[in-house]
Amino acid sequence: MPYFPQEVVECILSYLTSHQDRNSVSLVCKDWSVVEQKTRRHVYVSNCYAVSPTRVATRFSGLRVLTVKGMPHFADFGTVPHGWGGSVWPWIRVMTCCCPRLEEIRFKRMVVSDESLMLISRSFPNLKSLVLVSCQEFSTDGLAEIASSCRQLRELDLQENEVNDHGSHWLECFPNSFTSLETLKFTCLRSAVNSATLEGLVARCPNLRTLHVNSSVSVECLSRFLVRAPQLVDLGTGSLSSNQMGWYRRLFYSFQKCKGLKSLSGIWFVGPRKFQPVVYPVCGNLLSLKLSSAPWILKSDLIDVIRNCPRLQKLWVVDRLGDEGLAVVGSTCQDLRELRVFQSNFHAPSCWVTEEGLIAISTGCPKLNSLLYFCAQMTNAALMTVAKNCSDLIRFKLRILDPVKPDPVTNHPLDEGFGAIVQGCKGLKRLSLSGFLTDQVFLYIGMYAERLEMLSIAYAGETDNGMMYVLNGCKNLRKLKIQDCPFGDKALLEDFTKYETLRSLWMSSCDVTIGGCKALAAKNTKLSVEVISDLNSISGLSLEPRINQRAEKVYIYRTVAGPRTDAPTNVSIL
Amino acid sequence: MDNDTELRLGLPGSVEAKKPRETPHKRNSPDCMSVEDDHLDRPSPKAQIVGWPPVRSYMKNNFYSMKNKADMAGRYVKVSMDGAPYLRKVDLKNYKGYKELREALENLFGCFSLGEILRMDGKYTMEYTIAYEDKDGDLMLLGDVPWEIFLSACKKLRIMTDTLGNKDREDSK
Repeated sequence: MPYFPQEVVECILSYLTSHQDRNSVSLVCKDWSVVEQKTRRHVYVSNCYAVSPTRVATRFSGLRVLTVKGMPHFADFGTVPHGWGGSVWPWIRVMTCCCPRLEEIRFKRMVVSDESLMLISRSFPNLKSLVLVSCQEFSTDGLAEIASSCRQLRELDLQENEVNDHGSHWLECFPNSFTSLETLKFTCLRSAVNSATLEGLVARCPNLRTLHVNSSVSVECLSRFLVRAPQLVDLGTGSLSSNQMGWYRRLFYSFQKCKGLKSLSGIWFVGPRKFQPVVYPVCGNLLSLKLSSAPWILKSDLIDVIRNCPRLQKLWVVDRLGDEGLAVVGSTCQDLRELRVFQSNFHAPSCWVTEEGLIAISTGCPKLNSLLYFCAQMTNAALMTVAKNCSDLIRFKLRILDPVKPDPVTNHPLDEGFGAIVQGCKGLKRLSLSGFLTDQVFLYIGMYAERLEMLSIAYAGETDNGMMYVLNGCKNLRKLKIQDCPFGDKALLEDFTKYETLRSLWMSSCDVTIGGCKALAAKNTKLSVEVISDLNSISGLSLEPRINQRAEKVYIYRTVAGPRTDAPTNVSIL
Repeated sequence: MDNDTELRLGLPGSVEAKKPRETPHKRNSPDCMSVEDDHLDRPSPKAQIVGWPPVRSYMKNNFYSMKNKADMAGRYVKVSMDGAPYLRKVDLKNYKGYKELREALENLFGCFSLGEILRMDGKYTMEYTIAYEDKDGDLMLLGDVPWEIFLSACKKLRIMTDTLGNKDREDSK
């Protein structure tokens, strides 16, 4: 390879798209590193504080696609206090100067202000795609700026953001000459949308393939714009609730024309009439069905729909489906790759699903590679069956309603069951544990889970050994999230070299102390050790915490950017 | 006795504290059904541990605001009481929660306290349980599900007299 001229190396490397491959290639030699930097089009920053925006922009001057993630995963569950950080502003400001040819911007779990959106809309004339997931602070005014100024926009994807909704005027800001839209998702907005505006937008964008509307969009509106967009491949409906039979019939005819529809979601409200007959025309072709937005759909109705979808590869449902419903999934959807069973009732925790449903699924769906399963109980035998039947599993997240529930049949911990999973599913990359678990399960994970990259633990383990087995064993581990486990300073400080490969570690309500965190920070300059206290907690304010005081929430991540300067007072960076 | 009502977050490993205790059920009756008897047909109610199961704040914040917007015009349901000669009708939308509904039913059907057991010499006496018929046609005990979900699920209310209600509880112990 060193004998090839640089142009040839550039050409060859331009075929590499995987981040991991590119990272490896850049380590081979200086020449290759230089070429790789020039040809890199997509940079993925999984922690916005791990590297400075300036460094990214100067190193990868040919950047076209930027993905940045901010807050730790636990922010989704409200555990990270408001104001922690993760603003996109520094990133946008640098990119406007250094990479004005940016085409795609993706932010996840970050704070996006309206000013940032305005700057984006004015600074990147080639912007084709803006994706904001689980972000906060911006309002529909910022969206209006994007809509009116980004003439080349093809994709506007807003998912699960906390938006200040000032109304749907932003939709009207797309000029009449704007026809390039291919993807539009705005389920996280609450305001009612002007039906005529939406219809007009849909009608003049012939390349529109993906449209996810919000819950305010009625059956009437849906049936009208669907007629204009029979080419849709991915549809998120609004409400499917209507008192008027006529509109149901029209919607049925509209669906009949959607021959290419592969993905259906939304279905925010249903009733009083059954919605299944309406969607029946598209069920046979559906590859993806997400029915988790209306957790009050009756079990019988859920089953009715699923029975008609034999080609499903992705299914999101709520636990109301029950074991009986999951058995129907197992017998109907042999091609299923991804299944998520969510909790339907967060107010008074209860659950209709047990290990029986999981056994039925694993028996009927051997191609399963991604599983999220919320249930009332689990047995070791069921987990062993899953390990045997679904050896292609890459993601497995188990959530038992009672997080320390043992196997109800044998009363043993679930160590053996998860042990079978990590042994049987050799490609397992992400794992979330649940149930009564001792240190033994971590021994198994350390021994067998060679490809594991992400591990989530809650209410498990007995001693520091548990955490140490994992840290010593899983050589590909990138993210470790621990909540309410008896792991303390000994496990934290055991092996410093581990933190070079571990991207981040989150520990909350464990036994680590301020002293332990300080010791870790002292030994590792490339590590940022953040101790997060809640806003109201006294120790987070002016008083210096004691060495042996428990650190309630600790977020440790590797960084080449040094300690960040925008931390609020309740976050101490050691 | 105190252990039964105390909610504890014990770390796994300590035998007594390892399992979080169940909160008392929302039913009026102090005789709680033992949870192990809840088989696959019924959801099993459990204690609420802080931070578990992990629910995205986004979902929690939006769940009920969406549900409230759902169309539920005029939720009149029939209310029957065992032994009463005629039925009544109530509009569920008039009440903000279970407490108000129970009070209204008390007023409608006379001046007895609903749901209290008076035992004399080991014998049962008159006691009332309120149940409702849901969309699937099953008879459900009032108070298990959140009010909003109950509103859309309830088709009929039924006030059951003591002997039948108690017999069910006896069988399931």
